[in-house]
Amino acid sequence: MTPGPDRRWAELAREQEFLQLAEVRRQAEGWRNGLAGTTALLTVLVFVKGRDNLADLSPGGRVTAMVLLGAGFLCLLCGTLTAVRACYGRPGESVYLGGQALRRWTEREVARAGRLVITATVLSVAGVLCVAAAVGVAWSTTQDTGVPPEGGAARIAGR
Amino acid sequence: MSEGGGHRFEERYAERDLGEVAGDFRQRSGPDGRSVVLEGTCPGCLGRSVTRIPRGAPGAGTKGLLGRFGRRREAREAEAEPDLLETEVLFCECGYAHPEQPAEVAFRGCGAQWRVRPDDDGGTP
Repeated sequence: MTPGPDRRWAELAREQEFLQLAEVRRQAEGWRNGLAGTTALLTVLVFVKGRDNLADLSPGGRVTAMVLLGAGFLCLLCGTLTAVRACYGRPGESVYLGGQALRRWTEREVARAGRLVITATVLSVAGVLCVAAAVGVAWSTTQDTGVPPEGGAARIAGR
Repeated sequence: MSEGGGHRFEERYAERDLGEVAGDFRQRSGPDGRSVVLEGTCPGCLGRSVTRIPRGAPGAGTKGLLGRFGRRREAREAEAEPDLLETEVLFCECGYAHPEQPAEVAFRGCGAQWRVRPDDDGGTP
């Protein structure tokens, strides 16, 4: 019998022992960038939510908008982390660096990464939709309180 | 490493699959505690073949905050050391430069590869 891909996998596993540090650095860099991206989500939400003062909303609209914003933030956060996990793997994971062990891990990881990308896409789209819905609620349920702006009221009082 | 009594030093290097082989193979923990050593007699050249399989990052890994959970997981995995003799394909690593061996080889031996045939009771020798 001639040797099949088993030798190739074993050679790859043997080589992996010497490449671990570079791989760890690459993964850490990816996670750092991904985690930095999650903090930017907060800024985006503040800009995107529209109305500055949710207190002007009707009570029902306020609760709805806040729930939608919270759900949107959670979806975007989980979507970002899921995408980073799909790209850079799970930190701290280790296996026996034998050819067949590496082969089985690779097969599992390929399937897992594919599922994670789909999950990340769904979460990101859901997050954007939630934030968009929150903006819609904020604009459509804002009550006109009839109170003039603070500066205007001061001028009237001082007249 | 290559001190087997019947070691056929004259065996020419050839990459060949010997299929499933029964033999005196055994698995033990490595001295560093993070590796496993598989040893036995190569069915190709009858030399003493010793293969060390370390535990490491498959594509990436770190020991950061999340690594604390990883360490707990590693501890569990270390307790249940897998039977690599049953799952791995072994390559001759008798350490001897057999005739016609290429200059750059990952496994220094006669080029044979094989799987260890499990015992009748389901375990490996």
